[in-house]
Amino acid sequence: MGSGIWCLKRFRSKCKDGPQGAFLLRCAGRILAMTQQSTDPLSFPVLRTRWAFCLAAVAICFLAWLRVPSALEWKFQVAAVEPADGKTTGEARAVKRFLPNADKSSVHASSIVSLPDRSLLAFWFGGSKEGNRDVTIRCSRFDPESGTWSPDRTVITTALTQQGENRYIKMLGNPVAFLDGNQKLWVFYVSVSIGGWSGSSANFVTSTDFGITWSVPRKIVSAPFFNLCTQLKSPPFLYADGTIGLPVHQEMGLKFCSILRLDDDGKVLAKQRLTHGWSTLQPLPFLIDDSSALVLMRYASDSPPFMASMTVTNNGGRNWSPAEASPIPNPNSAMAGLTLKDGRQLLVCNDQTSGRSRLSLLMSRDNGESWTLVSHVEYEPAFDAGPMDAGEYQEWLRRLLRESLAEHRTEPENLVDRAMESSRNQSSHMPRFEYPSLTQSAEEFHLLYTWNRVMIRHFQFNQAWLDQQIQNSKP
Amino acid sequence: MSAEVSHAYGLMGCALLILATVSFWLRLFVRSDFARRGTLGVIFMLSWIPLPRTSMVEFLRGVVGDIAIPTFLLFGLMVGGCLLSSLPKHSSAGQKLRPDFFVPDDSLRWFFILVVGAGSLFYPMTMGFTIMDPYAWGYAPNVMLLVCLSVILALEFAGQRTAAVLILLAVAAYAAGLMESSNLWDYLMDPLLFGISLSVICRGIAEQVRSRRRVPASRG
Repeated sequence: MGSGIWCLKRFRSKCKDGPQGAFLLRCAGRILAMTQQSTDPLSFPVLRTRWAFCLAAVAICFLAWLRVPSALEWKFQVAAVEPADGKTTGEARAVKRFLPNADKSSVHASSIVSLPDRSLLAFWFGGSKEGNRDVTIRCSRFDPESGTWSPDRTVITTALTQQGENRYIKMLGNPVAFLDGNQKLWVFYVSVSIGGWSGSSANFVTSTDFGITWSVPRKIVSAPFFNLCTQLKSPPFLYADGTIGLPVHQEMGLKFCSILRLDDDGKVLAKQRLTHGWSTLQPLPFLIDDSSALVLMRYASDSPPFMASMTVTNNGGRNWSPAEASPIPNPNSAMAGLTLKDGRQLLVCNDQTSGRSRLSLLMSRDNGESWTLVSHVEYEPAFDAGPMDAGEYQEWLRRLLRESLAEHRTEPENLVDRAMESSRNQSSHMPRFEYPSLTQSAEEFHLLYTWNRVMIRHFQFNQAWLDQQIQNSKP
Repeated sequence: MSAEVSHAYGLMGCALLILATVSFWLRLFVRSDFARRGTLGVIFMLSWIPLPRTSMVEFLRGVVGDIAIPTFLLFGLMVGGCLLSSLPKHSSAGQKLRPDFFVPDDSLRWFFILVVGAGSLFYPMTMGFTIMDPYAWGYAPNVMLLVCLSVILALEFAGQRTAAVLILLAVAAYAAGLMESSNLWDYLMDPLLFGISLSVICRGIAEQVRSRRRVPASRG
């Protein structure tokens, strides 16, 4: 830089007397003025002049610009629609069973994924009580041939997450399982270091051998305020370029929904806000075609209308319409659903405005404009009038389980007592059938949901049963 | 950059947060350089010891996450200032890392104003008050990088090189992928920095108001 200054001084002295040099002289004078040493205390010797500093700044910004992800293609990956021919093949079949819960813990928030060999993997969180440090993410495998679930095993713990992420973890929750286009199994889940669920952040582990071994847990950084409050419920979907769309919601005072777009390594590429404000949670996407999608959201406000919210996109998720009320009642509870091969949407939800005592299957033939009831998965009309007293409720539970267990011979110990204790904790003798998760494997549908916080229930039905219920539900 | 480097940065940032907090109080109450350095050394060691469940730095990282690059540098300067406070005035290190460095002088005034101005809009918007989410811009920050470059150049030409260096190093860290986050905002700013900037600005305003009140009083 010293030689540069010397050159400029020579140039200035040569131009001084020439008639053509007035303009150049002024320019040179300004350049010399700007190359004076900065008086700032942090002026490092190597960046002594402004020009060198500015050059370094431009170079660094250019290097940073090289790291910016390339422009994303906004298209969904959807299977071709196969129009229904109206013919039902096979025998209608529907069966319910409980998932194992070896240590009789409190369980919640199941997620199910179907594997290429038609087996299923279910994940949920369980422990002495929701929010306790002993809560772990459990897993069980379903064998479709024998129709049985393997004993549950722990796959993720707070200690494992803490070790992998080098930070304190107090509790875990809400696992969401997903198989991507490369047959890599992802389990996203939330962790909390301090406070309640509003202090949660998203994490993930992956498996390339369908859940036998798992990667080290990793954190998803998706919020600017100490990365707080990213929560999960619904399974991800794929964009046309193979990137993953992960529906998330935030619940720290305000309650609103977003979609995170992740690459194959779990790095966040984009974040699209679906809603803002105080009343939407747990976005549930239904892909319609490669550019259109519908998202239903849990209604999380204390004031009416107690209807699920919805938003749509027609440009591959780049922009979303303002949220509006859907025709689906929602008592501030989670929903699950999927788009069938024939393009219809199947939804599982508590179709009531309060409580979670009724769990139903609904279907839409017009991309979410209207929904019709297909069948109740769990429903006891007696609860329409309100909670029972303790004795009645206990008797109802016994009757329900007698009918259910007679079919399947699986008898979780003290189930009625544990369900009674759970209802006492909820201060209401009403059953709770909540947090559904739905998947399709060949012609079979598998629905998991939390059964009174003491068990995870599996409802398996086939296409023939669904068609039959649709026929029966037609007016 | 590898996950290990990101973890090391995150943990070191939390260690600096602990040390900077201690430095703040040491500057006020402890005059002995030996005591200051000893205390900081002991606390630094203690903060890494794994207690039954976790170490202090891991606990803090769980709570605040990874601090932004300017916050890291400012905490480093605070701690450095506390450690090197007794160096003679003619020492360049002593001059640059004085304990009163953190007081808003001309070299950082505009930086703090920028952080408060940006944060006042940024945090409410990202927390869901509007449908627009400026945090999302940080994942594909083409425009943000242009803005950063403009701000860096503007600060440099305004004689605020310290502020320009803080932002430039944040951009450099983003280019190197130093942190766990892939969002440029996380490199530039965090709520701690916003809080510090806000308190510094408020203190500066309060001092100005106080001094203006004093002038008429002394005249009277």
